[in-house]
Amino acid sequence: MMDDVQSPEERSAGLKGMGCSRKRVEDVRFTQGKGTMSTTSS
Amino acid sequence: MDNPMSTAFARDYWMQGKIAATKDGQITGLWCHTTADHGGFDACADPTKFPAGFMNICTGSHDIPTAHLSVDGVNTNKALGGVAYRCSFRVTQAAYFIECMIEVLAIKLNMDATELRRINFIRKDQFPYQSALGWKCDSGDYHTAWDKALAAVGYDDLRKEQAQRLEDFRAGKTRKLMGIGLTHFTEIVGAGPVKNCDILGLGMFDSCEIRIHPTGSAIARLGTISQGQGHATTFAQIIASEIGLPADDITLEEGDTDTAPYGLGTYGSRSTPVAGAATAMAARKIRAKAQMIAAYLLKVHDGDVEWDVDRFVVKGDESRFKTAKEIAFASYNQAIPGLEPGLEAVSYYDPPNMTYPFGADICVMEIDVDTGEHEVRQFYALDGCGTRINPMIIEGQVHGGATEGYAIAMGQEIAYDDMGNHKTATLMDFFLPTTWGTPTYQADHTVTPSPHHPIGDKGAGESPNVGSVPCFSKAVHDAFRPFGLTQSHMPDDHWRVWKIARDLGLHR
Amino acid sequence: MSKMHVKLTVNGAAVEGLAEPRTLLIHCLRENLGVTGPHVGCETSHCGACTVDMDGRSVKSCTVFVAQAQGADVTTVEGLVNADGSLSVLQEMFREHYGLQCGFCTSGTITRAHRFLQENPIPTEEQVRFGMAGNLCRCTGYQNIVKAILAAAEMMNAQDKPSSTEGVGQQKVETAE
Repeated sequence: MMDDVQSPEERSAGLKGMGCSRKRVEDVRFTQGKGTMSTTSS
Repeated sequence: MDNPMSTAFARDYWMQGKIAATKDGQITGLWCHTTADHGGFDACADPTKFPAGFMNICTGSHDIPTAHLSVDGVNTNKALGGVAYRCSFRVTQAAYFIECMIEVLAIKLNMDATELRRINFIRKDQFPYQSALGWKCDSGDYHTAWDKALAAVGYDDLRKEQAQRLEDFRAGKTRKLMGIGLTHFTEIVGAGPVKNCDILGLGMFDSCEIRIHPTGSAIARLGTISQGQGHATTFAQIIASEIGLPADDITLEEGDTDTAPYGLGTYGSRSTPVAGAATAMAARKIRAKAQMIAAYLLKVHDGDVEWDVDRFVVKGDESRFKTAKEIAFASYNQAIPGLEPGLEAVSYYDPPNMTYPFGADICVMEIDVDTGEHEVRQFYALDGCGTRINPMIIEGQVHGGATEGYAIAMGQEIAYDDMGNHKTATLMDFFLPTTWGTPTYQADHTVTPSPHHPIGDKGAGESPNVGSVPCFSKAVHDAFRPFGLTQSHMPDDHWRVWKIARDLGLHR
Repeated sequence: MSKMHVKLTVNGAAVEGLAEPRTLLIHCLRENLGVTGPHVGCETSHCGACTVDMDGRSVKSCTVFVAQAQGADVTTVEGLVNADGSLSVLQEMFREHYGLQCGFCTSGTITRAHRFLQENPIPTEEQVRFGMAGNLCRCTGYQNIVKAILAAAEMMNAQDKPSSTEGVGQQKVETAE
């Protein structure tokens, strides 16, 4: 298993948990104008 | 639509203060009376018991043994009042008040305000600190933050430069003055404990519900709603750290009242302090069940496995483990006899206390005495929001919050003429900073976790607003201090600053 | 009131229909065509949330009649993605450098930045700040918007060295077909 060869630090980095400047998941939509704004009907 | 004429306004406070101190600078008492213009009616979603919000944090970062606060709410024929979209609970006003009082005290005592603060800051070992106005501040390390901030901007050199500038000004070599604004603020956010905070009887708890799917992906639903703070990103990070599944596999869902657990929503920097705590607590319930499943699968007692990043490992034997992903699948097909299948949990979190983020802001401003124009040369913002979940997002909050502070301090006003006509009806008349002229910020931080929050987080959205408003204003005061200015009525737009210079006799 | 026959190109697709003369371009885009990327912010040309690209110029579509767009080539934020649907360099840099928060101004800001970088492919920070001053943002303090645009300029210049195309967006969609 891949897991066996990874150090705790590597496994931790893979989670993108607390402390990580993770890129926002929202932004793939927002940069294309696909937000759901209160002015966006339907 | 932009509609400054009939939509809500906020922060129209007239604050009077008195401060008492010994000759060597030890503050002994504080008095504040505020007249608060709430317009047609107070439209803020303040907790029922706190119609004036948390103005009673107005002792700030200082150990003040006695304090008194009174607020008169006034209804006027303006639009509805009390609705600020950042720092909705009057903490910016409280910070503005105490920071100006410190400034005045420093002038009276002829002391350096940086040293005056050091003398009066609540010390690290005094936390949890019971304030004179009734709050119990959770944690802080103000002296460290203060020294870090002053060192980062090269405070002593800035003062030397300022002294030189003043000399040049007096010698007629320049028409620009230099002002240094200093702020150390303490916030109160994370509303709040149900015993203190409710809205029309509904306690201000918040909630999170997490369901782990057999594949090891997950969905979390919260009682808050992101308005741009990036909840889908950060709350997934909390869950990732707590239960060892990649944040990328965790979906967040908010704002659908058909599916969301009950909550009080997002405002007043409460999402992470309250719903974020609920998220961690729900995740811990899941991890507790996962531990039982892992132990069962590994044929050991529950207490014989320990958590390691993304798996439970048999103590003393790293080769025997079950990953969170494996446990997720097992929970749906190899349930322990007598234990319900599945892996999900909900937490309704009633915070035991508010959280108390703090920070230090330093602003260096150039002011043209003849035109009243200013240029923010440097703005340093140290943020102490406790544990940092996503540094990129926190820094973004700092940039945005400080820019709003810049607008509030340096020009934003809903103005009326003597006949009651609205003078700032469009975004052309109402000051909103654009790319042109908005300062560039240096964001910095210290980490002082909240002791009562499951992950130590205190909330980050409002702090930069709270600290920056007094900081910008004080840079203006500081520039004119050698000519006798102690205070001015904000906002310090070009016209008002020009008038300050004129009234001080600085125009030729 | 009699309706007018309007014909224009939106994100590469020819569209036509009847519209009242008073219809604003933003309302036609959002309500008739379902192109909801551009947002209605102030309706007075101040905020820039409705910015679209019209015949190679940035316009605030809340103060343009659709009749004025007769025969025009209009590009909105939806039209800026690469041909394969992936984010353009500019969009990717906004994400990378966190040049957006709530996303309301973002469609207008990115559409303006797209045009700005064609007007000035090698801008200084000061030029970016001047060129973007018509797009208000209340979340970011602009710092990361400026950073994202400068980063995009750098990347696009590096990419565009061999060819003479204008960069991301519509042109790329066409050449890739």
